Amino acid sequence: MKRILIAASCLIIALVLCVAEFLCVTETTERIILQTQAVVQEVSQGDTDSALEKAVELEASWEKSVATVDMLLYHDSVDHIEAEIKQLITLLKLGKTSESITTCVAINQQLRILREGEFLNLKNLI
Amino acid sequence: MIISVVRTILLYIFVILAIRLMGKRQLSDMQTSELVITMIIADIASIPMQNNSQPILSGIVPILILIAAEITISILMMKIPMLRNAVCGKPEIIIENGTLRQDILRKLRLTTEDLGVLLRQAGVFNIQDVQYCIIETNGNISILQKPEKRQPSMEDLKLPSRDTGIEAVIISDGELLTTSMNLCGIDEQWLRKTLKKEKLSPDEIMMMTCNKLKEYSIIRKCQK
Repeated sequence: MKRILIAASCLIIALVLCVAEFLCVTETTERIILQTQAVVQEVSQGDTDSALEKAVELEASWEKSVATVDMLLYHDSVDHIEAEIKQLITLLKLGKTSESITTCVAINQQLRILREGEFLNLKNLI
Repeated sequence: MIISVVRTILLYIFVILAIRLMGKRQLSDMQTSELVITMIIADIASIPMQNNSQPILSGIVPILILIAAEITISILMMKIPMLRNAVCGKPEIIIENGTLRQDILRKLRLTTEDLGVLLRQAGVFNIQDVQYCIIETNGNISILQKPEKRQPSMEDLKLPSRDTGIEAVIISDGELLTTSMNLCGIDEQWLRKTLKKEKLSPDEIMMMTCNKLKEYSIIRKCQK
């Protein structure tokens, strides 16, 4: 009975960690993707100030989640996204719109890869 | 670097805990599945130890799953003999009445030299002396020698036997071991009296053993 309880406890802890990771990563990546899309929209409309404002919000939003995400994902990927967000702010401050859109696309792509890596599908399994 | 140190300590504690949760077994007594899982656990734990960019949870979660799987399989193996045979295999009789079963030897991919080593390690130097030799599922061998080659027991010789109980260490490096004393049915008062008779104090003793009949032996500490 004791051994069954140990096995069940280990399984439950592992499953809880997996579900928590899935929820946290998908929620964070989706939120940041939406925020980067908002930045792209503002830049496309030529409103650089508003885009910069949104990028600063994006950075704050990322920093809020980074401690949790860092525990769940490869630190290199997390650090890379953080660096790209900082680069985006610098580019917007310099008024380099086309480069800032490219950076947003790169951030989006990395976040999508992270999110898709969490899905239980054949591609990820194999 | 300090991160590596802390992560290594954490994972070390976790791996020890994992191995303990799977149950007490010596490495040599492990079944195939247990040996494989122990190796995988060690391997999984080593990756986040070396690579600081990998989250520690990515090592912990698979280990938790492996513990759960190992315990579940071991419980199921107790209930389902077919599963036990599939996972652990079956014991094989390799020598029967002094005759080597070559088909089994080939099946197990054992050479005659390997078998010779195993027999000699078990104290058998002539294959003709063996009635049965069984290769167990954990790779160990069990040998039943022919009746005329077996060591006679006290019962065979019809000699009176003496139950001395277990020979337990009651003083180790000057320290009194009360659990062992209880096992031998002796108390501290008896021990003090015995030591007084031997003109010794516990601090002067490296090892003292005793049995149920209060027969004891003492090894003194070497003078430095």
